[in-house]
Amino acid sequence: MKIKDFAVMGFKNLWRRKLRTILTAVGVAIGTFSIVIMLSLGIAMTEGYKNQLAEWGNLTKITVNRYGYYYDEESGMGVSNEQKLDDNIVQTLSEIEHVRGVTPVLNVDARLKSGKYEAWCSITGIDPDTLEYFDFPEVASGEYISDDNPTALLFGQNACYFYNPRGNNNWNNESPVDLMNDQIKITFDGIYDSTSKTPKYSKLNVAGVMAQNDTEMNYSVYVPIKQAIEWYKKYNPQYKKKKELSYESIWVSVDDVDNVKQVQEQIKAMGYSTYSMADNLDDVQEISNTLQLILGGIGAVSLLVSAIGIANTMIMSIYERTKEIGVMKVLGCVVTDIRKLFLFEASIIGLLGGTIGLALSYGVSFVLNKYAPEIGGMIGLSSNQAISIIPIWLALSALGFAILIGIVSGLYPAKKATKIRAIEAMRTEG
Amino acid sequence: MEAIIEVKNATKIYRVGTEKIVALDNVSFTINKGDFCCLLGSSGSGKSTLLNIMAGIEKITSGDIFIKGKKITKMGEHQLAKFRQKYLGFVFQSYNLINSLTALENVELPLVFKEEPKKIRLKKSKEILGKVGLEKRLKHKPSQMSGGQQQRVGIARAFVANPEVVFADEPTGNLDSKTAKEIMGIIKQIAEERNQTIVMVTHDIEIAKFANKVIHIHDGHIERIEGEQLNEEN
Repeated sequence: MKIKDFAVMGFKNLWRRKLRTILTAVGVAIGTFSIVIMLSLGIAMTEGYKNQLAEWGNLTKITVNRYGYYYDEESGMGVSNEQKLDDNIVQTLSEIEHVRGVTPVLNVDARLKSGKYEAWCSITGIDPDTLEYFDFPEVASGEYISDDNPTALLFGQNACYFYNPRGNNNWNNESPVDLMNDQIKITFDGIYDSTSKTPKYSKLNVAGVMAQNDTEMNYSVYVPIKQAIEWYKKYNPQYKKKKELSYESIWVSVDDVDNVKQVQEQIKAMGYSTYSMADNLDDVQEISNTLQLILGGIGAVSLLVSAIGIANTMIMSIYERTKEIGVMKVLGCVVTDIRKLFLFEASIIGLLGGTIGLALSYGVSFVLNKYAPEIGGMIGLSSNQAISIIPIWLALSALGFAILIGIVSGLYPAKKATKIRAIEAMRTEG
Repeated sequence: MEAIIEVKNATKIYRVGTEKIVALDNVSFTINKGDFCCLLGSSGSGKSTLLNIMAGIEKITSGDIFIKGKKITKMGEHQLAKFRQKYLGFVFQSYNLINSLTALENVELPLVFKEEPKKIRLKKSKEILGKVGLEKRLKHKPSQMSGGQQQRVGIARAFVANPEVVFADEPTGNLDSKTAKEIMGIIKQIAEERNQTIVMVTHDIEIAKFANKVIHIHDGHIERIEGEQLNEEN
């Protein structure tokens, strides 16, 4: 028989037992629906967590800290060791494959003053040429730092809190100082030692202020690294004693989030301890895999039940069609065609159920996401995050799986059908 | 005359519990091409068993059946199915039409199994349905037709692939005598037109009169074989 003939006969056979076909398909639909919805929740959770991590920091960024923390197996405790970070290391790191930008980081603390207001701030020196790799927010006013204007600072929107040392401060108010337009002075005196000599202020240059955002950059002040080194050498008491400079940390930007792990391993192999948001991602991935396995397992049970339903329906149908199958044999239908016909019918039930289940899943997913702000808030997800995501691969594999379930459930009934003997056609009853 | 079916020492023994029932006991005969052969006997005589064995529907206990010189008693299931597609047609007592299919689709069925192209299938099926007088009922389901009409569809289905031999098991057993005669007339007419061989089982002497060769079966034995003379009396 040809495919088209199987289709015509198969559909007619299924249609003749409409109610039973539909009920069986509904079983498959419920199974498919459970699996798809369960997995979609798991996928959405992973996505949500990824987005949250990305909000907290750049996922393609690896940080090598001067004071690296690691877990010491002998003592069973977390210990820290100092690793000297200099330009040689910066150079070495920038030569690793998949690394697109490296900057040394050095902090210098300073005090700012504008009129009667004062502020403490930590100024971070970075290489201005690498700004683009570390997801710096847009500048709301002014411009980014550059080596052309080395003393000009780049402020995060909430980098400095100006307060009045001799007055009442309302901590909720907007900053009383306009960074771009007000006169601001800076001093490095009286920061590292509490000697009470009068600080010497000099005029501060502001390059720009960045737009409001959710990362650490919102609370930081940046300056070109060359300037930071200069200030550090001039004012840092430790440097004054030892005359030895080590960067606070080194930031490494990797071209793709998938390569972060590989690069990180290489840096570790050089003997440096590292930190990246991707470290957390691994844990999240593991948790979400376990979660999806459990959720998918629950769905799989209902699909298993529906597989038994299909097998049952097909076996019933064989009992009803015993004579018909006998007649087909007498009329010259080969055994393989009988098997194919039954497998076809079983897989169509699977496909039908899978399609209904998938449609149902998309519907429920839509409703869930529509009310996601309320529900998501209840279970602690950020409010704009979808709580059910059905990627196209999930939809397609669910359909494929439903068909497969149909075929597998149809195997035994189909085999049984081929065993029916031609003599059944000769029975006069029925 | 060319022999188309040869039955040699056919024996069929059924086992019911520990008891053996001999349904056919060492039966031998020959049917020629173009014969309208009737296996006549009362209920339980073994005539239906004989037909089933000749068509390869039931396994033989011992002996051999040759159709067109091929030993069908040694064929496997697949081979037998292919042989049926090519050379054999069937008419059943209870019509055995597929209820979910229309008259036209039922008639098409043997050609579907043969994997003939759709166009040719339709042409042949419509033509043969016209011959049995059902050109206006192509789209009817079996449940919408009378017994006589259903059996006409059954006949069309048996003849559509132009088989060399058509087996008919009590084809008029469920019909009134007037319709039965019509049905027999149709079978005889088509078979004669195409020089096809008919092997028919019946218990009805009136129906047997349509045959040119009548084999009387009693208790698993051939009682006697009548040749052309019955036909002449008709």
